Amino acid sequence: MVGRDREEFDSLVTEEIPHLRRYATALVGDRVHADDLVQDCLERALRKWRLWGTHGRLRGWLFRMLYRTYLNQRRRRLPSQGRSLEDNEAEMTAAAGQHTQAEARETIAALERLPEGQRSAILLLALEDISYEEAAWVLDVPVGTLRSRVSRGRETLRQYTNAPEAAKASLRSVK
Amino acid sequence: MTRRDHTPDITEQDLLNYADGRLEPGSARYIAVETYLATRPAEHERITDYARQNRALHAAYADVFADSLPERLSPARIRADVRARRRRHLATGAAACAVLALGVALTQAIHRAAPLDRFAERAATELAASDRQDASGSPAATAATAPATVRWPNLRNLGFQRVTSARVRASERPMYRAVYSDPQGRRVRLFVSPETRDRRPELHRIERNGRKLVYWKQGGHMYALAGELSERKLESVVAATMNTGDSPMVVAGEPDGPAPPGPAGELSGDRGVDSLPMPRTDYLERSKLNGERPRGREAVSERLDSPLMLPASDEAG
Repeated sequence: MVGRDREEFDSLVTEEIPHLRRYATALVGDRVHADDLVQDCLERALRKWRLWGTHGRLRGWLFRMLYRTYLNQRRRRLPSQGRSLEDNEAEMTAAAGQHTQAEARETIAALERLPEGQRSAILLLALEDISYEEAAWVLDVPVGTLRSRVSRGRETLRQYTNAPEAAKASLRSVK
Repeated sequence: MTRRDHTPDITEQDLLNYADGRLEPGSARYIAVETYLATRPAEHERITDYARQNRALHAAYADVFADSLPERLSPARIRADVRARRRRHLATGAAACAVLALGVALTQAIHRAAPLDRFAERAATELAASDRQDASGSPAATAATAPATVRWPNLRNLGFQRVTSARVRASERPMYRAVYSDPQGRRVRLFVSPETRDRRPELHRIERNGRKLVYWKQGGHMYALAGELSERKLESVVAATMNTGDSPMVVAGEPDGPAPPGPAGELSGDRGVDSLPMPRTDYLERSKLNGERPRGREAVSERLDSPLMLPASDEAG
């Protein structure tokens, strides 16, 4: 019985791994570190799989675990080992069209300028099919705080992406 | 909920849900938002920008999402890795325990060796006292109790005969001393003390006041030996003493407590000090006469009658 439950759990987890990898890549900036992060998260999840039943949707449970693991690792990581804009740009899809690619690069660059709380909230809501309530639980903040962060973050992104090219270039060099 | 204008029906959250694609196209709420935005170009532009941000982010990480999963992220593989790591940790823990146990054993071994070292120090002190007494010609200070049942090794094959034996004044445990001499007048002093735990013989050496002392444990006793001999000759004497068997220094019929205080003269070796308790000997004699094979302690006692062990009458000078 336990073995079957575990197999079922493993199967459900496997379906969520692409989502976890995508969010992890957006958070840390490169795929190798992102996969390390996902692996650590999965290890914890597989160890605590019996606890999942009381925590609602599996995706939210896994994302909360991933985000906590990310925060723990970020605290331990030296400043020089932090993510860089170049990391993130390098990870952007090469398959996307030229116009989309430029737009994506611009958005990522703007995202890098945001505070961590706003960035992680926008990424979670933009990339994943997750409600505001669930996102607030994943990030461990009240829903009102999350809404406020998302609104301010999106507005900052918008201002940056709509700014004239010269202003963007100066921001990039400051970065 | 934040309201950005005076429209009662449409909230900021509705607009964000519309930008995020969370509203069902064709639904009443979806249509209401579109109607609302149609008359507000600035809001429309803002929400369109938000939607564009979402599309840009999806495009940026599209290939990560579509990538095939690396093997190391497979739950089965992770479970196997965790199991293997747990086994390694257990093995490491077991090895650490083994090292710890070895350390404890070594510490205990060192601790157990301490009585032997103390015995050697006492023997060295007694040796120095004997040397001083020899130089001054004063009588030796020994205990009053006679070592009536100590069996001393026979060193006659090496040219030494026992001239005296005595119980040394002791505060901790009994210690006995025998003095052997050869025709040239060279002396060998042997100290022996009972030790409750049997150990493999391991030779140790110390030098005190210019005199070398060899000491060891064997057959339930501690020994210390010093002689005015060459190194080689001394080794022969040590070997002969060790070869007297498992327990040549049987001390029987005498309590292990400290000796009564006060000086006493050394006892001569010709006073029957090598004798074993009579009942056992009687039994041995009877067994031999009857052709019975001696058992247990009797068998050990019989071994003590080896050629190296002379009866007291033979040994005493």
